[in-house]
Amino acid sequence: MKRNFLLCTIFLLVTVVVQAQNYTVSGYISDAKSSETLISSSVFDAKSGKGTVSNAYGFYSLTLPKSEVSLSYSYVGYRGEQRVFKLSKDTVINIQLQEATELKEVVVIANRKELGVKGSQMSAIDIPITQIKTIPALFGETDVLKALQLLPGVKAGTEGSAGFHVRGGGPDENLLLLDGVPVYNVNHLFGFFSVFNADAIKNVTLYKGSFPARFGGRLSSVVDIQMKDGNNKKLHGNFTIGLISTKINLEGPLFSDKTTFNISARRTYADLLAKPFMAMANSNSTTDKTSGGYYFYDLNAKISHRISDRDKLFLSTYMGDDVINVKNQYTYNSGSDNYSNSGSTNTYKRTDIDKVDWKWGNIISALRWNHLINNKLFMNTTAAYTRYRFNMGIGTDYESSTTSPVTYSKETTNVRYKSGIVDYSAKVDFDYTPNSNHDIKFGANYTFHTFRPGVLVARSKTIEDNSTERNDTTVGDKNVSSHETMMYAEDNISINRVVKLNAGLHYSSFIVQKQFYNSLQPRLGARVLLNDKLSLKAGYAYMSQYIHLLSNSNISLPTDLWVPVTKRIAPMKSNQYSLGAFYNLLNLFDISVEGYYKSMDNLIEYKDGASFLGSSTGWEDKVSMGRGWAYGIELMAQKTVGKTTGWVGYTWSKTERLFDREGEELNNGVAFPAKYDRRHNINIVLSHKFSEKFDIATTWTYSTGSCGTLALQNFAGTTLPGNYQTSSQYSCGYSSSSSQYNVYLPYVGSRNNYRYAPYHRLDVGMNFHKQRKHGIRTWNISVYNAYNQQNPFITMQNDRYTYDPATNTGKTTKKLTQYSIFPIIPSVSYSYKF
Amino acid sequence: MKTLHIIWFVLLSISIFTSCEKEIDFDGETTESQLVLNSFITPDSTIAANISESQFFLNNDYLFKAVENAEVSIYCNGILKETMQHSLNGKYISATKPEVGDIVKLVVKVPEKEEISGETTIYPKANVLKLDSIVIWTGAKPIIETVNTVDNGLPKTETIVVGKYRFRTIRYILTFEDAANMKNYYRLVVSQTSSFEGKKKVNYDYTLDDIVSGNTKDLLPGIPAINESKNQFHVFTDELINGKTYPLSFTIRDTASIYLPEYQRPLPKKTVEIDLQSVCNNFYLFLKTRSDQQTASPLFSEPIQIFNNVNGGIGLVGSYTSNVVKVTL
Repeated sequence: MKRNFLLCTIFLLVTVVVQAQNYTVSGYISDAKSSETLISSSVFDAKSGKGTVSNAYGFYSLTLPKSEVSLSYSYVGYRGEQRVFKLSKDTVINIQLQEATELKEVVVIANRKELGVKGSQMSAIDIPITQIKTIPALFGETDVLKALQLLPGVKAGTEGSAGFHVRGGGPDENLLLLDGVPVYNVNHLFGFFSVFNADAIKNVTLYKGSFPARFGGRLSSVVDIQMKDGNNKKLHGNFTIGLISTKINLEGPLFSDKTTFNISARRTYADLLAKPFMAMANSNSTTDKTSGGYYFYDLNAKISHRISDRDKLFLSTYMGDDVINVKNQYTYNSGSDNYSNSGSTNTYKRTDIDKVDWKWGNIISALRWNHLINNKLFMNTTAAYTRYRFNMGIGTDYESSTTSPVTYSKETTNVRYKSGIVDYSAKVDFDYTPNSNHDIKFGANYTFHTFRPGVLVARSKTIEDNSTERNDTTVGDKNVSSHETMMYAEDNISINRVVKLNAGLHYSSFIVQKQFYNSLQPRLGARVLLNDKLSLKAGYAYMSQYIHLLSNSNISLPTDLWVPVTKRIAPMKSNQYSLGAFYNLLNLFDISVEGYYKSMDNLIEYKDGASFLGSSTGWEDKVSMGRGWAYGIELMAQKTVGKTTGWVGYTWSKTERLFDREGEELNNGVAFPAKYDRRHNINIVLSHKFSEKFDIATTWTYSTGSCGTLALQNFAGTTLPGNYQTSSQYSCGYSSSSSQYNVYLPYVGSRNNYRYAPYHRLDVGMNFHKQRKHGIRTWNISVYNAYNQQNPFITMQNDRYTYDPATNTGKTTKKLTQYSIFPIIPSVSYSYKF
Repeated sequence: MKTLHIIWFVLLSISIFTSCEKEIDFDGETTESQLVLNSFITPDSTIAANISESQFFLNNDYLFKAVENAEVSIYCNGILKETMQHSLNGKYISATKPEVGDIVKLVVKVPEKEEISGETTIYPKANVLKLDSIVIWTGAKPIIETVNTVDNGLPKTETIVVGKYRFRTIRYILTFEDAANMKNYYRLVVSQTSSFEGKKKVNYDYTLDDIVSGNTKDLLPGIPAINESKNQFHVFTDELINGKTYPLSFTIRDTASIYLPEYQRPLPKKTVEIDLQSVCNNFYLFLKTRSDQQTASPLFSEPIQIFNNVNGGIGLVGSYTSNVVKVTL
């Protein structure tokens, strides 16, 4: 056995390394206008039938036999380039592709060669940022994550939220990478907007299964977002004024064409626009004064510097915050009203001040060095820092006094709460292309995490005449540090024209509180090309995850906490198998059918009644560990060429959870549907370009309602022994027949036993373009939820009281009430691009 | 900028004023009512039980339907003791007085319904060793009374100070010994009887403030999003103190009225009753989940399944054994 293994290894090594009389063509592929590198451009030699694609930095390397070659360089939406020459030595060719203006209407959904019919990768999709920008969005705010929610296999969470669920996974099982650096909090305004500013982004790729070995750390998906490097020829920019925000983007050369910059900034101004209304309200009240507001901002900046043909440096950063400031002051002075005219000599003064001060956000910085070791070996080294922090302050000042008798009291309460996570990481990645049949990637990564669980400091001071009482309470856990390492190697192997494989291994380890976890994760993808238009693909991925997000609400709250695995809570694991067929129809439509089965273990779910809300103390006691499974079929038909582009996607899926370990039972140890188990999901995304001046885009989405838990029976809870009225109830005059003696208790038969109403929504957006002297101006008019569908946000039982004047009687009836949050929302924005 | 203000205001108004709440029909399966059995058993007292029917959650009946034709059998340690008698509104009574260590089972048969049953074990009394207290006076406030007088023939309202309220925090330390080699569950009930208020017994609003009993103190009064769910029924286990002597601490806040000599009033006599109940596992789980259910926010926590131990139905058959200490304030 050992001998056979050794022989196989030697044979593979020989085939990889020994390639007589072969030479390598390598270089970068970029946009001729901006020099922005083009990711996943295709390079194909018509003579030998061999080809490759450029990597995330636009670099390609293709090793071919010594002979005449005819290289075609292509990237959809760009004019192809061809080079015909005799290959007799290693050659460097940097290619700049021209944007095909006559094909401007061509919108590409999946431009990556390895994702299409001929590639070995499945369960992945590229969405060009141009496509994302055309999709109508809430308040007109282009949103990368909302665009992802329109893809098969991806399910939106709560209405409006940027959170998403991929193939039955939870919202914390998605790895979001911005230039290779994880982003922990991807939400603004409780998840209704994402932190990714589309103006700063070049490319977005979603992997939902068959994960390449270079990715790890989450069970369900990887969203790889690349920021733009910046134009090295000329200063360009654009700005957009929308209903709730203004954005500006500038890019261009810095000092010389070797250095470029790209900077984008965005700020909402609801707080500024609300000020006049607030001032108006304040002027109408003699007692209440309110000030403050809410805003968020984000700033993306990137500097790229070409040191030489072999070396490039990139420094990129993101920072963004959400800020809430509110101050309400109530003043009352009895001397100024009729009370003092009653003859009383007393004057009563009172001032109440309530203050809220919340701030939360991310900072991400990455320094990367691209180095071309030789024309077959490319290296990227990254040092990165990422931090999410949440600071909350709440304070009250209550002051009152009387003159007769002389009394004075003052009560001050201040509460500060802080939490977050900080990562320092270093990684190195290599792309090695020994010959045209192998594309090897390998690398390693180390991350030092510091988890800052919520720490709450509450201080209060009460002065009653001459006595003073102080309280000082600090609650919270110490910071927790952990070390996460990973190594990987993968090879994209062309066995022959028909069969292509992507095989890899991913190893990761995690050390926390003297506990060591590790996992070896095999990954495999295979493609069988039945003909030029049709292929079958299969994939397998084993994944492991060492961190959890503690969250308790339907929306993304800034108090949500990332926590590491512990001795008691083991890492989550998943096995995913996928199988699919890919077909290209008339070079116009890409049609795919994918089926998957995913099993998940060591999942955590909150126990009944568990609530975190910013406190991680004892969180292990509040969760149960169990397992789950998800399976489904995804269909997608997309049109990438022509004036009308877009896609139709349909997903049938089922996902369940089972928590039956002893002492960890949920739902009495019986399987139950996951919260976002939606059986059917249809998405239609269409854009049509009528002319250079006008285009229109529309999306329609439908999905089966998500699951919730309703207590379908009420039962009598009799008086508890030793339960009397409380002293406060007694002083408030509760009668002996008060509710605690006739307690209605809800009976929950099983978890997620009720399905909300189906969700559907139509969004429409129109763009009116006009060429101006220095650029193009665009008016965008869009309508979110065009037919004003009241989609369920939460459904609960309420009592409704009706009064009948004829009989002078009232009646209370129990009703099921559905609350929605986003009705029809029209929006308009103006942008100018130069 | 002014135009933008107007556009923003108009569009926002359209969004806000569109109705976002509607009543909907329940399109799930209407579940059948189930038998509900509740019985809280204590040693040396006769056993009583309440039997009713649960209601579909959209049923508008105010009262639950009492079951008056049930055959309720009591088994002690597996032996049939008696059949309970119906007294009123679904309440069944018996002459059986269980003892500590007994396993009591109630079996309910109702015509055309499935048989239901519940079982509990009577736990021994908690071994209370002593009670200490610390009183901290935390402040005072004048007792102000309004007096109507006549001044130069004109009515006048005058406020006078007749004494002061003194606020005190009383920290009690109840020392008890946990029984070793068995899992114990406790519930603390603190009540007060005042000679002024018809000698009516009322529960104190008090806080348990140590790690064993689970902190029930509000960190931030008035800010529910920050507070952990309350231990409303003051239950705890011996997980951290198994077999040990433990000083359980809890705090009550109280007010004492002190009148000026010229305005003397009679003062009430207050008696505080501190009952450390030893409860069975089922009763503990029931109280814990019921407390969670009553204090949880539907938006911010997972829904609660209130614990029930009635096979084939809903409800609880639980037991408690009291140990009461009285203190006069």
